[in-house]
Amino acid sequence: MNVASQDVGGEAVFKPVIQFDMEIKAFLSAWLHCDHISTYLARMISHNRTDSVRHSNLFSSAFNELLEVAFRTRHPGGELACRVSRQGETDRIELTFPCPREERQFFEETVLQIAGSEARERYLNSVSGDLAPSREVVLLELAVNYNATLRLGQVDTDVITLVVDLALEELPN
Amino acid sequence: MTPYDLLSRFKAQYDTNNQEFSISGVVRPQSIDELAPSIALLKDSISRVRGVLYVNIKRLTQMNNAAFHAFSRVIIDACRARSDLKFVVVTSSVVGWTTRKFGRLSEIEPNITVEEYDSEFYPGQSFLEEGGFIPILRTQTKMTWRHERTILARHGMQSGIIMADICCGIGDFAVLVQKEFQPSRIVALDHSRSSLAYARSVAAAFDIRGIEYTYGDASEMLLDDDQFDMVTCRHSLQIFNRPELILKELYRICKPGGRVYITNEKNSHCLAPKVFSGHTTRLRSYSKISKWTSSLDPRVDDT
Repeated sequence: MNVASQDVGGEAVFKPVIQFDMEIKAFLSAWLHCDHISTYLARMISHNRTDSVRHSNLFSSAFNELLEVAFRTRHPGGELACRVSRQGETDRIELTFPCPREERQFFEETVLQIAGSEARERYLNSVSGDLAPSREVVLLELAVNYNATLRLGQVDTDVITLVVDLALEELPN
Repeated sequence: MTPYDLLSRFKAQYDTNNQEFSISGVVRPQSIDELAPSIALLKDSISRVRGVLYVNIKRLTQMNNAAFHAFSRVIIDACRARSDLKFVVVTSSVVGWTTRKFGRLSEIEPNITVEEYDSEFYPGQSFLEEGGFIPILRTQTKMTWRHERTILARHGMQSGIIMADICCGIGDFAVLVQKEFQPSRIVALDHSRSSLAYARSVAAAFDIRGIEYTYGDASEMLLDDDQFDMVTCRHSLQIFNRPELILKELYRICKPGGRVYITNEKNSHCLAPKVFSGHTTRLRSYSKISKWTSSLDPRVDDT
């Protein structure tokens, strides 16, 4: 899984590392699937990182949160698809899952908030004041604590793709 | 529901003497209701202490946001209700996300501080990390390797096995093992970032593959149970105040029937935890190491 990076037309090229597909019905049948999938994929993609154990722990921690967000959408049909690709120090997660039209706006707004300058303040306010974490805060946390960049990829009818870039080897404690 | 679902994957406890609430393991609940007993214990701990409560998360390997929010809520509310009370969250530098995540709490409440318990670990380590000491370590390995290469082969070291070298230092032993025996995977762990950087540079320069150098604390490893055919720990136990903690960890990560190989500056031993179907077959008493490992119940070979 040594993945060479290259630039094509100035765009960084991410080379595929691993892909995982699952019926959403099967995924939703057990909460522990989030933990199992995040742990397994983290181990698989981390073995050739500088510190495989540390990278695996960090990747699993961040990826599990994304899977929990997908789990909580609770859309009854369709597929969960997860693709991890790599360009140098950065691992890209593309998580595609069913998403009702009314929820799509939530993700669009959240991604805009994360890109804004107030992400850290919003995150701290939520930890400080909210009774329970919202999905918005879970995604904010990825940006604040893991230096992740988030955007929306494919947006089709009833399907959404979250694209998250993580450069965990560079992440200080 | 599978039997796996029923396993408790985390543990919370309160130590009255140390005013310390600790939580360890993997905490990824779907609902905070699953945490009710632990949350109740934290609240009870807070009600019992005066001055400071230590929140020990050194062995917390994973915690999702649902759980983090639930525990944080209790701590933040306690800060607001009792200005006399301070919280010290004790993290490990080995678990990369904990200090950052829990560090946010000190940005919210000044009475919460976060300390990495191993940031100034092992007083003797800085001496070992000095560049001038590397030739001495390499000479030591050169002297011992000519014996070890035959000893290890007698105890199951062979091509294709999965092994861990704990307290690997500058990594020269792992390199020699890789060249001589070609294990399928070597995880080499140490708590010195500079030694690991040196080890990685040597492996890269010599194009040696298959060794995963990882930063870790030998007494609190992130590695899973029962995953290595052979676990080695050389010339290291003597620097620890509580070597029995290291031995427990070496034993924990070794597969049943696998080998734990230990040497130190004064004597050398090879522990062979011969476990069949979950039962240890016999224990041969053997001086101090045998005493340390008595709770683990291994077979001890000194060959």
